[in-house]
Amino acid sequence: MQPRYAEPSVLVLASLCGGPKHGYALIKDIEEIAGTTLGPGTLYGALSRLERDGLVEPLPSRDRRRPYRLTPAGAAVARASLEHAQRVATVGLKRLAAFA
Amino acid sequence: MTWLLRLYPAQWRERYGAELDALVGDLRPTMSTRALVFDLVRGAIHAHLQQGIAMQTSTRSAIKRGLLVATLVSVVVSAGIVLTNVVLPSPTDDDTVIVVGSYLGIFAALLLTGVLGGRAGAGGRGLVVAGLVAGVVIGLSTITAFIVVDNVWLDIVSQQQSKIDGFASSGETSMRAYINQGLIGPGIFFTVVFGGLGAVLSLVGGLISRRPEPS
Repeated sequence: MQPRYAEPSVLVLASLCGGPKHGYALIKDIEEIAGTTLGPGTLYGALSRLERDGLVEPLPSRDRRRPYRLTPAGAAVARASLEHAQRVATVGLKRLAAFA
Repeated sequence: MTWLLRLYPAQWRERYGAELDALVGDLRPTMSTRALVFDLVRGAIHAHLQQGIAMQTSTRSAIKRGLLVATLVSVVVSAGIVLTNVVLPSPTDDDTVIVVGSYLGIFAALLLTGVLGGRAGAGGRGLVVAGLVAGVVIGLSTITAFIVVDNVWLDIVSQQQSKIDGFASSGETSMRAYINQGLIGPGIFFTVVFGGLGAVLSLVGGLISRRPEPS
């Protein structure tokens, strides 16, 4: 059974699906796609866990701003997490329609 | 705001501190100070919790590896003790080469405990504990092997010239009492010295095995 990741980690994975990004670019991209602003401590908490688990990897740093990219394992976890979210949303919306 | 980064664990700060500092600088114009402080403090607490969990796991793993090494060494040393005292006792009572070889083998095993512990991700404390446990186990198993050999095969062991000479001048009433009395000192010595050496050598082995971080 795959470990479940908290929302900030899934948001980071979803953002990195679009290509490598450093911290600030990640925060701005997540604001756009999810409408939520991650704080720097939250973002780096998620990044450190994802790097520890081999789901993202650091690229050479530029001016202390180090970009990260998704690994193949990270892409698999991102897919599983997003499909799970999609299934929950689909079922929830169907039930909501019946409720209304 | 850089001072808040000091709340993070040192190892975490060494890896992510510069990046996080740069990001905080980028966010300061658009994010309120209160929100930044709250988020960084919360992040620091999570980092400490994560490090604690990771340390416990890696320390347990290092101890398990140390116990495996110690068990293998104990089997070999015990077999050697039976072999040299019972099966093929030295007619000259001179076992210097075997003893020196055994010590070197034990030291190498304690170093290996550190290398394996380091590869398991154990920190300094984990390496020390793993080496200490491995050393104590080797010490206890060594003295246990001597106790068993000396008592089970007393008739063979008591023919060693050093035992005969020692017993004659000991004032003990029986050879068994003399031999068992003589095992107390080495028992403490083996356990304490191997435990201490295990802690030091394991730490050295762990530091040797540590690979440099990617730049």
